[in-house]
Amino acid sequence: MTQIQPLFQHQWTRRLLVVAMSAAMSSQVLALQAISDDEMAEATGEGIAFLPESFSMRFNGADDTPSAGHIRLIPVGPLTPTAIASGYEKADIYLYGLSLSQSNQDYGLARTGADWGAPFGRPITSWGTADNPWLLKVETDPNVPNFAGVSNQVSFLELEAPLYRQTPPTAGSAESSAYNLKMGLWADAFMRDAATPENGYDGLSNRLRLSAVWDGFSINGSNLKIFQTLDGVTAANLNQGLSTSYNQTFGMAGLIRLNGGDTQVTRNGLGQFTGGYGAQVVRSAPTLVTPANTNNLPNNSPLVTLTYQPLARPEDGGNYPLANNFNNGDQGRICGTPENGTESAGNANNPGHCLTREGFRNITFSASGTNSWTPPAAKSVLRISTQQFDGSMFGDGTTPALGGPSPNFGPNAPSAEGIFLYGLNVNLVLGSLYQPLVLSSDGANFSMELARIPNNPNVYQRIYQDYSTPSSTTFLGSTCNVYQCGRHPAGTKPEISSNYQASTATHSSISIGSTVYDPATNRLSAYKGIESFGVSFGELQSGTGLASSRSETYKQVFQATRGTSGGNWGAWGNWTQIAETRFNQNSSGQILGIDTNVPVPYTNTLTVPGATVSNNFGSAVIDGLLIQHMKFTTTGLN
Amino acid sequence: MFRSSVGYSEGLQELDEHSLQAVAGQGGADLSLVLRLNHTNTNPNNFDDPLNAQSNCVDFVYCRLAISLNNRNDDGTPTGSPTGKKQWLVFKGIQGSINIQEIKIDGTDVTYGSVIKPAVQLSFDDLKPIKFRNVGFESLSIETDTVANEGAGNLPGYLVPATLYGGVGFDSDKEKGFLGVNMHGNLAIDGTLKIFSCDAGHPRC
Repeated sequence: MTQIQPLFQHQWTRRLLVVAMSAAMSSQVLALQAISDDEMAEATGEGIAFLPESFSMRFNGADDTPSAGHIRLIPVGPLTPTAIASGYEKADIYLYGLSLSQSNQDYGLARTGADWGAPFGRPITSWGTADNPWLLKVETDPNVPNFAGVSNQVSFLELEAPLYRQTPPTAGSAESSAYNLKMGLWADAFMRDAATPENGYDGLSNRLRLSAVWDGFSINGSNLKIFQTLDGVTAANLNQGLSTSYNQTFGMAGLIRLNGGDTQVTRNGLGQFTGGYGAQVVRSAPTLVTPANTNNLPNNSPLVTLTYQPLARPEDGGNYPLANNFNNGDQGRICGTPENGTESAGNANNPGHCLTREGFRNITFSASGTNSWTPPAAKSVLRISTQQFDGSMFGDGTTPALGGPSPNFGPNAPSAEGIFLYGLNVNLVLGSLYQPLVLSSDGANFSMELARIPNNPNVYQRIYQDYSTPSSTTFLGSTCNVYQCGRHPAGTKPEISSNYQASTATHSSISIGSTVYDPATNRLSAYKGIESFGVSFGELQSGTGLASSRSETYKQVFQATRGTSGGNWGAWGNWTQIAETRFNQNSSGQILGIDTNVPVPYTNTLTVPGATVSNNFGSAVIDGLLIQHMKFTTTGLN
Repeated sequence: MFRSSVGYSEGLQELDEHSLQAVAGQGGADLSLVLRLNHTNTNPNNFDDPLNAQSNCVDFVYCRLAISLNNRNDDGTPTGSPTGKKQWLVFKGIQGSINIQEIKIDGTDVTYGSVIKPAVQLSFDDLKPIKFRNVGFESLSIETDTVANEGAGNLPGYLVPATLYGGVGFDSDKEKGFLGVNMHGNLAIDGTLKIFSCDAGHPRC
């Protein structure tokens, strides 16, 4: 049963009835006149433009408690026996306080705890401009390939957000407010026992609570298309993984652009950080440790590790294992006494293996120091947190929808808890007119599918990129990031193509934090220097006295020789440096081939790498993501 | 039907152009709307009365909203095939009370470039939020017609008899399906929304 009670309130005077009509007319006021059918037939459809100003939205509780209005996802339906056996229960989820407003800080200025710690700021001054409003329009694309590659015409309904400017707007201007949005929401999720009837908190346990605030982002450049999909999937191309459920059904395509703004760093020719979206690192003077070098060491120096000594019995100064008794104690005496050639060196039969010993020395250079690390102004912060103050005792398991108090997620000074994403840019391409998002069902389960790209050049050449030729006219795909999003189609008005980004890209890009951007190839990568930041656990704060060091170990190979004295071996001489080991097997069974690689000239050129604060996880980029095929299906419904 | 604030009623009269020209536009109209879908309206004078906004759906079969997309038959054949039975996405237990307390409607101008365009302006007041009470549906399911191509004797999917899960437990009083959604709260919207036509003279259209 439905009841609608319209209550039109107005003052019954002649003046007011006229307002709506006079607004739609020219300066000469005329009575409304009926348009003949002929005239109506000539009228062409136009788009409808929307321009919200001083706009804000907040879902409050039924008693106007701030941010306590909820959307509940009700867990109807049975669990599978396997799930129950594993101890799973239903998930009862309440999404609270969806709100959209503008940050209290102006565009481009630093956000503080008062910003990312509060879900609601001030109204959005102007969400778009008169030149660049929200649009709802119907357009026709005359050249869309169907799933068999045959070109067709497709009419579609499109909802477009204001376009994204090519150059950033002026801070504080009305137009900049669209790039300075603030979104807040929080959620409670409970485990619900399926066997308990619904009554207040009965059956609920293990409340999971989190809050999310994104301060400083825009959705400019996004759009949503609704249309009827083309045909083309037949028995001929079913084996490509296509489905006849793609043909002539309800289709959608979208471009989701949620951008916090420019996050690139600038570097000089040596790859060193010179500015941009990175921290300020001030280094102390480094401490260099460079061991004294010498090419000559005494023969008993502990610095030298022996790699080779003449093969002899222990009583002859070696450590060669003894063989069985042979020839009256002569066994194992390869270099027993200097006779029968063992006293010679320098020819093929006797290279001096009884007269030489070898070893190496490790030389370690190191550079160490401390630095301070100061993050730059955080222009866009997404905080996901769970810590609360006042309003609700942590873990008491209540929720406002069932009468509990509302939590206060205000940040704890001096260092707030939560996962912080600084400088998040999400540019997600979800399909197109020839790769639609379709909904289907197998009778019980429900699925959402982004159609598989057919193996037909008329289709895939529009989507794939030629990375070596970004301006290719064969492969029309490109990546959408905060700097550009495809090329404007032919015929675009110059006021649009010279001021705003396009919406024709095919690949997605998601970046968090400091990035390196190459405009020639349109590639985005994460900046790997010590100034990088993006993801942190807990609020990112400055640090001082952060220690770091770098070391490099070199090898220096030494050799010592002995002569003979009487019928015995002489004493070993001092160690002298040689370029490489000659006798590459020592008596421990190791085969060592070592080269001297001490730097020439002998100077320590190491640099201190620098350190960042301990909760900084740096930046991340996923660039050039193409959804070739995607399908989400519910399971277990019957 | 219009309610007069003066206490007498008068039929609408056509204004001639001379009278119209003498008119000056002034403050616009206010719009407010109370919508109750399958809900009680025990106390029409107080929207927030706890006796209101309770589901009063007696026959569950007739408290539904169903959508059928083109080319969705149970055997995968296109719409109109002699063997395919139509599939429906059925929102069961649809209900809600919505109170749009006040939206002001005005006329205004929008300027872009050298063009001055007339526009309709909607104004919202966050002190008069749009009230949502138990707006949503109880469960969602896929239902299929009983006869192929909606032939003779077909019972459409959205009229499938209401089957409750029964037994004891959370699902006992709920219709077969998965996932329900319920919205409850006051949506405070503030600001204005200008709506104007976008023709070839506008850069975006």
